[in-house]
Amino acid sequence: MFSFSLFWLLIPYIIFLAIFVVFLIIDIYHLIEAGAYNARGFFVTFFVATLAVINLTITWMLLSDIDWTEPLILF
Amino acid sequence: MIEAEKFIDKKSDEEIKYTLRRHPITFLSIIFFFLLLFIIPAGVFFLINGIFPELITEQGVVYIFLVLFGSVYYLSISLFFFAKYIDFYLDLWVITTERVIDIEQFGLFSRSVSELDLYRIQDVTTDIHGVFPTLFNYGNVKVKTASENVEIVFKNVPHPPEVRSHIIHLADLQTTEDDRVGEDHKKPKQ
Repeated sequence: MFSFSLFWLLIPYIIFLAIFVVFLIIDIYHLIEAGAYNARGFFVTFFVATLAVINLTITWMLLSDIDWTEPLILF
Repeated sequence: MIEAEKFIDKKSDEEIKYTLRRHPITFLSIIFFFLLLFIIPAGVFFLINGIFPELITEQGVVYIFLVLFGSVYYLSISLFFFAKYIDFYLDLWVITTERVIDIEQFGLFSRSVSELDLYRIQDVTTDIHGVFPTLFNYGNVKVKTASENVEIVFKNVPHPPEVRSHIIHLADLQTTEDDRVGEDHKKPKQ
């Protein structure tokens, strides 16, 4: 029998979030470096950041009742 | 506006005449694709929930997987949208009094800059092909030299015929200028 805590499911998710933040910074850096950080660039950044915040808030709300210490039995 | 001078070594007597990028309408296809990607998972969720209502329970592992996967998916497509915007916005064509410069962004980690001198231009062709390009007056402008493999393509820029005539005009000016300088050099010194 193989079991692990549900909490471990969050590890790949957190790694993905870190990658997401890195790519977001690279995107913003590109705009600034190219001198293209104008109103349109700001709007797109704001749009993407807003989507990310809404996404994370909804995810948090949907998963807030989960008992992450509960074991997940696979076999 | 993107600072074209960041990408080119401007000569002292050189002047930037035009800075062109793709017609904004061409970004609409990316927006529609993004909206489609946005809607699909919601449709799939309602389909699964309709067919197997007992599969997705609020404490089940499937539910946790779906929520986390949904979150990853939506964050990924928003990042994809941002990257596409950068790819779109950082493609730039600059026409100076001496050169034509092509700055193209490929994804996030690749950018190419190529240029050709106006006096080398042999042919400038416009290509407005399709319903939207005809309606919104955008298309490609191909700038060719005598050499077979040297060609710059301005992709989906607004008003291609006007761009073409401006390039030809500037190339003519440049050629006349070069001829005049050449003749001045030939004159014997007294």
